[in-house]
Amino acid sequence: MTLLEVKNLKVEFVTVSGSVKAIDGVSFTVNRGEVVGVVGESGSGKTTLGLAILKILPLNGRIVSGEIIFDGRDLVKLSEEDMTKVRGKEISMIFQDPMTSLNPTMRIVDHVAEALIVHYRLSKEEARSKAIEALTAVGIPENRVLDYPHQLSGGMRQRVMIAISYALKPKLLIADEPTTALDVIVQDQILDLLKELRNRQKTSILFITHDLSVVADIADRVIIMYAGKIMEIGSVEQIYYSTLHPYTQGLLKSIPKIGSNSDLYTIPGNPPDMLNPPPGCRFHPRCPFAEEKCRKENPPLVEVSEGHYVACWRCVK
Amino acid sequence: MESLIFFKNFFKAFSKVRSLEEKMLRIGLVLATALILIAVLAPYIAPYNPIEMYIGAPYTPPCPQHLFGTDSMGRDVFSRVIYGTRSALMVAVISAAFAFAIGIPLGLISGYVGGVFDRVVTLIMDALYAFPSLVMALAIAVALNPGGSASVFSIILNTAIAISVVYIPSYFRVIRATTLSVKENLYVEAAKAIGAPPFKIVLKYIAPNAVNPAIPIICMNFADAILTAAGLSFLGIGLPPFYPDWGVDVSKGWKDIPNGVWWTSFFPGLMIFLATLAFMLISDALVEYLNPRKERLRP
Repeated sequence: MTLLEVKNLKVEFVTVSGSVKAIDGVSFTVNRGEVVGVVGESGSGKTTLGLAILKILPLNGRIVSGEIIFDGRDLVKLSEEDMTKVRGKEISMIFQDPMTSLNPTMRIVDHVAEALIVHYRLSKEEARSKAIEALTAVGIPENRVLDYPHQLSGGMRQRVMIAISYALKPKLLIADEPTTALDVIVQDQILDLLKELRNRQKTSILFITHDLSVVADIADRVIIMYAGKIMEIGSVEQIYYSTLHPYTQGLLKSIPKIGSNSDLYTIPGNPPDMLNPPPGCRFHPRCPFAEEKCRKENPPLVEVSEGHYVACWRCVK
Repeated sequence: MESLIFFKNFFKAFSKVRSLEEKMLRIGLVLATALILIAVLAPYIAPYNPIEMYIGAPYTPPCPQHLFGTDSMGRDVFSRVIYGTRSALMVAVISAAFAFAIGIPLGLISGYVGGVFDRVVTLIMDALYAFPSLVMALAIAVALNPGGSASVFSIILNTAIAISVVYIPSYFRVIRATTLSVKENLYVEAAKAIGAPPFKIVLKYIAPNAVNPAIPIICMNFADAILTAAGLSFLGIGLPPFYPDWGVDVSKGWKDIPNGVWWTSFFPGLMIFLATLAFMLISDALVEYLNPRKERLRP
């Protein structure tokens, strides 16, 4: 049932001022047909996680250690050549900014067709007709398929990106904040589209976002990340109704509520400087419950109830 | 009557031009078109055979029979100038094609691949770039030209290759620089994420978005090639003395100036000037025109 298993993944970036451990020992699984939300604030390593799984990290980034077992193979050990066969066909990715994720000099039908040509060696005509099929399936009218990206709205462009995944039928789709740049109506439509993709093609989705309400809508399970580490993993119910980690509690409290007159709750402090992360629990400088132990030792991720994992000393007996 | 309306509109179009760049572009385009027409229609325009001697008395000043006069061997300067357009444009086109075909792929690959390959290629290109272009072209042209009984076309080809080597770094540097910025775009990452192989990423996702800045360079290359080719001919590298070529004619004609015979060198020189000016104007205007920050120029 497990499609993707990430074991103790560590990713670092080499910068002028030192190496940054963007992901520091992350382990989780994604089952077939499951939508897993990855939530965290900016700089918590969510996007890096997506790029690391596809092994398309920027030049100064590298996977230090760990395993990414996808469908029985360790992607970390896979050669670059084999990796290009995995990308798109088995694991696909859609990006946060649909305005810049399409090539401005290519017609939208060719974006989809190009992906089909790369993986299935179709002729141009075949690829185009299949591409049109995929584009109409995601709600782009047939008379727009020859348009260039600048002629489309943000929502339409994100549909084009989804159409690529629709056409290639990958087993896993990494959606990196696909709705962040869109307004709420379009956001809802895109989420519906992703759900449909999951239901029709049994695609697993790793849904990266910082929007907890979007996660509640689409995800089966949620991973809460902070400063390159996983703080809590659980089903949507476990995360929302039996929240255990102080960071998750803080995040949930900081969702604005209609009708409340009090000021919006914010977690005090700032995310840590990743060049010099705090010792012990990464969250302790901002945690209202921090104790001596939190400052010295890093809490392990432990299963507190079935499928509910937390990395907090308060939950370790 | 109809042709009259055409001319009227033609000039009207000129008077409506607002910006300086557009004026430059139009003047350049008109001059360049005229040059190309002259080169193509040379046999119909030139009144005499350009290499036939003693068509008129030597050193006949400009007169109705010989518009630009005749040279020391009684050849018609006007006819020679007209035919000279051919070799000038041929050198320009061939050298631009060579430099384009080598400089742009190299720039794209070097910029995309990066690392040691990029360092090495950049170093070689910078070394080429550091040489004064005429000296460089001179050395290569001398090395390439076998001398003796080489055909005129092979001499033109060799001259063009010599000039193109000088120009490859210009294309390379510009394309490499834009490739470096284009490859940071999200759509390149997205292309990687769908599993596009590197050559496809370069060809379909980077190249169409990176070659724009090379277009003004083509025109600049054209202008410079004409000038350098004339320089090479002037220095006696390349085309044989009988062949109608501006550089050859200037080099033969300038010695006559002290004797009051100015027309043998003035008119070919003027043509070199006009041809260079035409492509320089187009190039300069295109730089402005293709500049995305200058919205006002967009039609």
